[in-house]
Amino acid sequence: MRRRKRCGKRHSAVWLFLLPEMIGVLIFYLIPFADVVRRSFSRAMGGFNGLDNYRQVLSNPAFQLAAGNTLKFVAVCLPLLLSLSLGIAIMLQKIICGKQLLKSMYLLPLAIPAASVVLLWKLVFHPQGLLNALLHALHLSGTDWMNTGTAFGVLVFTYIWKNLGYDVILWTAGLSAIPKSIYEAADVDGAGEWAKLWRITLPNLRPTAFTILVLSVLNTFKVFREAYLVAGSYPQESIYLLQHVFNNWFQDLSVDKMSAGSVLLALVVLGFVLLLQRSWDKED
Amino acid sequence: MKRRIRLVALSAIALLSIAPLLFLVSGTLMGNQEIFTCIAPGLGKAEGYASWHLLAAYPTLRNVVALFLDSPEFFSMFWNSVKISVGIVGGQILFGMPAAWGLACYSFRGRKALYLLCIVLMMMPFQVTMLSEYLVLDRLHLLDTLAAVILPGMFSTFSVFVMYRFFRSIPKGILEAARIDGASDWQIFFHIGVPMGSSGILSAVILSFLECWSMLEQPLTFLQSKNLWPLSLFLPEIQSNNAGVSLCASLVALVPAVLIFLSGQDYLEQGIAASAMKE
Amino acid sequence: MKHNRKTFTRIFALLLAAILTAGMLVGCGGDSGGGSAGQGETGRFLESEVELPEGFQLQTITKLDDGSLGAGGILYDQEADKVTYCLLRSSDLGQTWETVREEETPDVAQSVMAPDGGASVISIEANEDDGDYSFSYTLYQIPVEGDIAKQKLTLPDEQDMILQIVRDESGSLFLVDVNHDLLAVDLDTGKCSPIGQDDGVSTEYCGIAGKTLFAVNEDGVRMIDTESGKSEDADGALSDVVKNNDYAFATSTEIGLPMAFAAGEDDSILFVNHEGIFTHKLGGSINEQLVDGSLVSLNDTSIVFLDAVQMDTDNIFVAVLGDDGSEQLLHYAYDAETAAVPEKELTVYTLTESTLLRQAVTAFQKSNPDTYVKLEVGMTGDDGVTAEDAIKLLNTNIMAGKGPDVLILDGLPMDSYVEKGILEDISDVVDAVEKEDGLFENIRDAYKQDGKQYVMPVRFFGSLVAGNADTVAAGGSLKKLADRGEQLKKQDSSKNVFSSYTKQTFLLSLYEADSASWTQGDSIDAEKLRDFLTQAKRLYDLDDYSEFDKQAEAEGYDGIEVDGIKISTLNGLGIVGGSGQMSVGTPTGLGDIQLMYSVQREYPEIEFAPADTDSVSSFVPYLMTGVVSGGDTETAKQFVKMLLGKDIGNQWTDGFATNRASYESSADAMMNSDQMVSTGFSDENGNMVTIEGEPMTQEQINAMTRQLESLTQPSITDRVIRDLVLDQGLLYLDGTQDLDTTVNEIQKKINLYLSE
Repeated sequence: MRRRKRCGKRHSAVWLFLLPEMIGVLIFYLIPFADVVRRSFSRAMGGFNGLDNYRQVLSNPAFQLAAGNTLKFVAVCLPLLLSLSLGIAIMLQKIICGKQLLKSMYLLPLAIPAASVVLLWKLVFHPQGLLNALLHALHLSGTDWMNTGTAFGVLVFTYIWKNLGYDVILWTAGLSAIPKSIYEAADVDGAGEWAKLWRITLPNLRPTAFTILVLSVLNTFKVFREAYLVAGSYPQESIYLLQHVFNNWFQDLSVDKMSAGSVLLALVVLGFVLLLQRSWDKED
Repeated sequence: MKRRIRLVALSAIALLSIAPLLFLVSGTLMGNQEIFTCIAPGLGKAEGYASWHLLAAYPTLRNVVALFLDSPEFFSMFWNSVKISVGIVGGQILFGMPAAWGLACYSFRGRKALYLLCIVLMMMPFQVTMLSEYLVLDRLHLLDTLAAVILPGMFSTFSVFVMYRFFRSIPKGILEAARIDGASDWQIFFHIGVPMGSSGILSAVILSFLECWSMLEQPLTFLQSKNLWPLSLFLPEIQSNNAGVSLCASLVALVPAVLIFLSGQDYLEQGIAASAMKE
Repeated sequence: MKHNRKTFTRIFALLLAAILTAGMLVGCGGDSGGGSAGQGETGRFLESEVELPEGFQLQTITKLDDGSLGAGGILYDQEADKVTYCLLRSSDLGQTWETVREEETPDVAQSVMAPDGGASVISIEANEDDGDYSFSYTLYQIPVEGDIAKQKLTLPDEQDMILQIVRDESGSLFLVDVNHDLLAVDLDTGKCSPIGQDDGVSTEYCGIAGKTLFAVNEDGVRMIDTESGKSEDADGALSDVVKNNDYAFATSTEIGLPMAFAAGEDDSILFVNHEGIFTHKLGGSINEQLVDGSLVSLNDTSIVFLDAVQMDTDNIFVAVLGDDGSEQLLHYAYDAETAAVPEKELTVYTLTESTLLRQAVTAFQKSNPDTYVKLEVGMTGDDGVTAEDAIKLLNTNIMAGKGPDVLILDGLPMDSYVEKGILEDISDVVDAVEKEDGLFENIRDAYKQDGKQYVMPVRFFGSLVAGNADTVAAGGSLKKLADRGEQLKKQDSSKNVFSSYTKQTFLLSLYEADSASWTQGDSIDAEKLRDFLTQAKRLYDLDDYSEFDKQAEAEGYDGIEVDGIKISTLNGLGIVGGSGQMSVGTPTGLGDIQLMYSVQREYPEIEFAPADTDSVSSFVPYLMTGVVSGGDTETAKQFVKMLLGKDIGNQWTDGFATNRASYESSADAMMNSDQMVSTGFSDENGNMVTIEGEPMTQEQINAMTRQLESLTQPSITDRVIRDLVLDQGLLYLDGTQDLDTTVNEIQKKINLYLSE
């Protein structure tokens, strides 16, 4: 791999490029966030409160449940999505005709607005819905998907359905960047499929993986929308996520708790990104 | 044999991916009665199981007609969605593109920090800053105007991130050469960076557009007047007595997103591909 | 292949864009409607009521040739016991009236005045012919002086009825009939023939200015020239007023119009509706708002319009008919000194619509013209906004400091609001009302917290159980009721046990009776919840609700709404009618109680008493009012005082007033034999049985009062909990879910909710 040089020396023109965006970000993101931080140290209607909000939030059972669920969701979805999409990308590589069509179909879910799909999801996962109808026809028993622990699985499925195509394309691109010569060399050395995968493919996909990871985590937060539209504010407890808590706290005017929770979330995300960055940089 | 299994597996997944689209298309052509008979059990309103068939038993264009001719609010909402999406995407190109360029191709103190900030901000769910953003917008007297949704969206760091990844992959040699030739920063950006990064920019545009098109929380919170609401807020209201029209509306709402996506798919792929390259 | 697809999608996209743009342009109509009162900083029309002579029933007003105001109507002379048609005239804008002429005219239906002071009066005579009713109309032309011309009218249809009569500037008369036809009257022959309707267009009602008739129907307004009979569509701006307002074209066969028209100044037309008074220059494209309906009485949706007249640019008169059947003549006089829009603004917020609240707003507005009272409704019902969205918006406003001044807490997270300290202590207001009029202390006490009071309900409902003596004796708990229900079923399995409407109202009525007993500190007692569901199911299974449910489904009905809230009602009548043998529910007020007693007179085996009192006696609060801190709390408190006061309370009959004076006045009305209502029902054999309303006795009133005073706990009104219990409960009732699952689900979710 060629190392790419850092481009250009310091130029003051840089700031011209960055400034408009930075001003916008300041006004519409940083200032509001600063307000959130301020509120996290105050009572709902004003008045300094110290770390009390944080204490309340961390000991709040609803928050703990939601945080746990969100974490669990990320921990389950990411490996699943990444490996599934990688597998498909690898299989896709070996297909010759219809590749384009398949890729289009995989990417389609990304374009479908959540609201359009909600009715279908409700229909499919209702106790008397399409999925159970299918299972019934196959002489298998269905269950109440949305009101038992399986709701978690349903949400995972929704997430994967939506993001699969995107990740497949990413992997495909990464795969196509690996020169064939390396594989040929490995073949000459008598390496098997599995060894090739492990020793050549995966290491070369590292940079791709970084992007995919970041974007996939981002998208796990977006899954709240589907969950909310289908199951409301108080869904089955396994799909009760952090945003549900924030949403409900806002309904109760518990802005103090919401702010503290948000700051905590931001810190965790920051930590995660730092970790990622560091482990990626180490390899460079 | 392996090939066949592979093909079948991949096709099955593909079919699953587009299933909702088929659902919407077939539902649009069905009359309300037929739809209701099929889905009533699924809504808990009848015994037995829900069912669905892809080909309408009694196909009708009534839903399409009802939507296009009888629902004036649909069009104004559609138009709002267009304004919002175009506004946001336009702004992102105007402001985000130079920023991504600056971040990618210049080294300066704090670059890493800015980059991390960009990512962290991108990841924050809306609920976190909802109230505070509302207060800021209120102070700026932007509430209840489309600008309240467009302006924050313009400065979203998500598109900066996507474009950044792509700009990073432009060979530095070319830039160096141009600089040696005496080109100014602006010229380098405009005549080299942008053309070379066009697929990355386009992929950011497309992804952004898709996001804007289905945006829910921001319009709901910042727009009070119903006549400013975009299409995405119209859709969740699916009643069983006008299901056909709702499905048709969903389908029509889908169309621009899909069209944009299809026409730019190649760019999207290229863009995503390039961004996946080692930086 | 790629290239083709690209071009194809591009072309397709362009085509679609073109179609959609075209459609969009079609869809976006011109934006018309009342422009805001661009009157500058000062200058506003102030409303005042014109006093009319005693016994005068106003029907028509007009500007007379000599510039004075003319009014025509029926005069009831109580002493002389005479009924006449009376022509009045006032030369001082309604302050004093002189009687120009009085004529004994039989059975006046409609009338219209002429600028010379005379009137054309239509008298109606009902003929019965073998069970068929028909009406014959006679036209009386009453001039100021001289003979009265009488003419029998022939309508195109024998069964026809006249709804409205108008007069053009040349004296020709026109009628609107019940078949939605516009008719021209031939004054010589009395024959009435259709005019201006060659294309089959119908007319709901009309207005007239000069020589142009403005015929209103659901598609808009049409202008018809009275001479030629030619019709054409009115300006878009006028038609849009009708098209954009649901009520603007509907009429009933009663007197009164949804909108009144009058000739305006300088070739313009004046029209009055609930939004205010507007003028429209003929041929122009906008309507100018002269008076904002929400600042005056016009906003009151219970009034209808009779007539309007613009005397000059500074004086407008509008004749209206109120809900109680009395006419009012309102005078709008322009005052250049008063601020165009009141400086002070008071915002009242409610989640769901409430007519009672609206009336209070109008009343407060009238007596406080220096304050603009704004009523904000969170969920108007016609735009898909959910309760959560509305609350989110409300909260954002509150946090931004733009919250309302008065808050109606029904459906809102009341406990959170109190906890977060956003409500003012209104003990002083409540104390004042208590001192003046008295209150139901038990209701008040339920909302006292540590000596402070943040919320006070304006009205309340109580749950009763009705049935025969044994049934009512079992009404102490749901379990006993269920036992009794099974007993009744065993006795006669063909009869319905529980008289209710649909399964939703069934569950709701039990919920309202029982939920107060579930509160256990900060959470819900799961055992009591389980018991509630078990007993509900036992009762539910005794009867077959499928017919009701199917019917309700077809009608899109899922509960009885009282003024925006879904409250169940006691179906006492149903018991004697055979639709059941017991009923639990909330009577809609003293009126229902009076009815129950009347029923009891005929069917003494029927009894009723408060339900579910073994564990706790509960009530259902309505319009829980609070004042938000940080705003104009003084004015807000005044509003709350008025809302809790007896003037408003006296106008309303739903629920019981927490204000004693109000309650007593309703009680008096129930004892007054002049105001009896009778009711009827069809019994098991399908025969109509009528029950005459009987006035209540003092003992009955006292008994009711004592029962109401014994209610101590509010049923759980928290929206989240209530919806959870009802939604899950229904699943259990119709067998979709078993008991354990249901209780678990409810408990888990409620705990989640409470732990947040």
